[in-house]
Amino acid sequence: MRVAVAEDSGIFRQALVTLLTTVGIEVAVSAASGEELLARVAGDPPDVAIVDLHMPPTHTNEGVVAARRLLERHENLGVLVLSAYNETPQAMELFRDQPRGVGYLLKDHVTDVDNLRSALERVMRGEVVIDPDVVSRLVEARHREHELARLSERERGVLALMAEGHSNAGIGRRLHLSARTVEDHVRSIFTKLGITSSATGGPQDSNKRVLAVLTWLRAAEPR
Amino acid sequence: MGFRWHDRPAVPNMERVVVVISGPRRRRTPPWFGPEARRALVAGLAVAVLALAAGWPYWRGHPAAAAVTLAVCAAIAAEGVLLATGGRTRRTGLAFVTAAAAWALNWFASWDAGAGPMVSPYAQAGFYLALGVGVLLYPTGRLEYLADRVWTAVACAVLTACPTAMWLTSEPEWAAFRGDSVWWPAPFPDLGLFRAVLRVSSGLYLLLALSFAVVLLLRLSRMGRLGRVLALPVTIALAFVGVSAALTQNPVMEASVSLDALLDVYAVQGAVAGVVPLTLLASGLRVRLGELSVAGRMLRLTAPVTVERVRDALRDVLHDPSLDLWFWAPAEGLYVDTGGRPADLAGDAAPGRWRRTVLTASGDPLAVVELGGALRDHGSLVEAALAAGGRALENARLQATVHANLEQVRSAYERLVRAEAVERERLARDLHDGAQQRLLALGAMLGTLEAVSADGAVREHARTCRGELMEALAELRALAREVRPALLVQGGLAPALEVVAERIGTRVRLEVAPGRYSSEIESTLYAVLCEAMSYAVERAGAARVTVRVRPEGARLVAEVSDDGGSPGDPAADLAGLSGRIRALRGQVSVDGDPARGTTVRMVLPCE
Repeated sequence: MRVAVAEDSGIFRQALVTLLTTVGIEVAVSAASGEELLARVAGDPPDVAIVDLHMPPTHTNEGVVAARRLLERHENLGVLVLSAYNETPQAMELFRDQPRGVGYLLKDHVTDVDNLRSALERVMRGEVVIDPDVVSRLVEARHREHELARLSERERGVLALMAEGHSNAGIGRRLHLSARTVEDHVRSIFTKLGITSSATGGPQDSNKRVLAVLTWLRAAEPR
Repeated sequence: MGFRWHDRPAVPNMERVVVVISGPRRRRTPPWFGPEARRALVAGLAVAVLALAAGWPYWRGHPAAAAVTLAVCAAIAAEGVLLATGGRTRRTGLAFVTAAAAWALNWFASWDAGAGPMVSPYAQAGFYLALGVGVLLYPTGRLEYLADRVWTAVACAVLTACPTAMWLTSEPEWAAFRGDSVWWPAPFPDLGLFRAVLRVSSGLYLLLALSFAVVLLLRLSRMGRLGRVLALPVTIALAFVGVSAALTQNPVMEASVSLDALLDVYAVQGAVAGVVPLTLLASGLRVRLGELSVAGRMLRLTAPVTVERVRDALRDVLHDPSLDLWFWAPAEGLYVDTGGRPADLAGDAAPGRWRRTVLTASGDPLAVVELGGALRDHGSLVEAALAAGGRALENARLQATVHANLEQVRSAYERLVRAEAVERERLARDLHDGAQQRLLALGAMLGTLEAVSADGAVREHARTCRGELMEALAELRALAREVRPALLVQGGLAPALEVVAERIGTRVRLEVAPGRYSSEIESTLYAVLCEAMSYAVERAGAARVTVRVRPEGARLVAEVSDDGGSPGDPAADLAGLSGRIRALRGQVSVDGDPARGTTVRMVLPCE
């Protein structure tokens, strides 16, 4: 796998590149800003671009802007956006419209090689990846606790994994359930929460499903 | 510029002082009958005697007309002498004396002999001209405006040319006089031409009178408010006299009128002219009365004393809404305005403004008052008002000094809050960009170690270390969030509050207008809104909280309303919040009761 990295903090960039190289991932480009990355991958795009969310000049959403432009220019490129903070409403802009091959990961979890590798592989395949901590913060933000209380323990677990971007098969593997059972849970959750989505199956569908679940989770009452 | 009221003689050297105490000199005359009054009386009598002699043939048959005319002549002359004693009104006074004398001379026409009849029209013209110019010269002693100067020049020309044309073109009989006894050169007698001269002259006189009224109105519009109040009656009186003179003159501007008819008109004109000295007298009395009553009005208007009330009282009494007042703050060594803010009074006042320094009884600076330049003409009134307002001014100064001190405290607090905001931002940036990135890099290094090590124990150890590190990072972030949330720096109030609302667990409705403000406003508002929200949830037990933040002109309005019932006094519980808002010159109002819930409204000025 070939990746490109854009990260303004030199010390963290260095450590990340070392980590990636050590586990056998080729780092083709290592840039200090989104602009630099865009310029240097233009001719020979890697499989995945790892982009820091907060970069100069404004330290607000440079990573999101760079990610959207990378996705526009390079069809088969996956983008993994990294953030040091869990509380970043602007990052949700990543998943607007038709998300495909996008991931959002907290930097804390990047230090875990397995986590990192699995996220990279998933976005490379075109899946949507959302950090479990971000999802659990959204689920714990109790402004929808009323509705969430109607879900069973198991259903809440399925909902969280759905929001993280996992497919039915992925959810089944993690919870040791059959695909059929997962499907039943998903249908039940959608009915209880009143989420309308045609998505049930493959990777493209599960991306749409993420969007529906995220939108529902983020919708504060009554906005 | 130095002006001192309560003028107290300087205390002489206390050693070797010889004090001479002399009894008050006996006055043989009452105080109002000074040398000026005596001179005025003499001048009035002299002109009256002149008029008596001039009009004797007519007066014998018309005693009432005689009394009125003599009184008017005497009054105008006496008034002229009194005005002539004042520096700036000297020219007006001289003009009035001239007018009185001219009117007396006019009556020599009644003798129907000698040069009197021929001189009489000149004297009549001179009377009106002197009266008009005298008023135009009042009160500055100069013909200030172009219109004044043009009118004066035209009036001189017309009032010389018309009487001249009359004797040039007529026999004395045509002009109501006996041909054998009067001196009347009549070089080109022509009845048709004379009639034309009379018609043109009466038209020109009327035109002069009307244009004079216009000139007076133009002057009035340029005067200060106080000047206008005083000049208006005189202006109306004079316009009335001028127009009525031109109109009464019209019937006698015919060939072959009788001498009696002519003199009757003179008598009427003289009586009407009596309005001028009367209104001048009334205006003078009004000025004097204003000066006398100013003390009472100042006292009434300044009780109870506040800085603004003293200023407004002076504005009211002096009819000058543009009046401004600054007080000397001795501790700070500068002048402050009525709000206690320092003012820079170096340099001169703006053109058309008049700045006076007011000193205390002991000669220290007390205040500076700036007035419209037109009030220079009413110096004694200004002095009377300032003297009457002296005690109030001193009290108000104390108040202004207190305001100034308060202002200093407030700006110190404001600087503190600003400095704190800057310091917090720096600290937060250090935590975010420095320590956090370093710890994250360390985490990645541990991850690398974990990946490369073949030794299971090392890998386990590295994993534990990484876990500890993540705990440390979480603590660091919590600390940094306390200092200043990263989201506030990056995205402003709206996203930062959104996260707070998510964490708070109650239904929070956010209506926060997007937009960025200075860092002290954002961090202060963020902190107080967090406090108000957690107060609503924790103390008042609210189930619903609404937060609104929106700009209103140059202010930022933030409101937190809830449906909770606070057990205590919300205003007292939120005192800390109020302090922070006030430090930035904002206002806080807390409104509510257990039934309706509480609304905290904060208004902050922002540029």
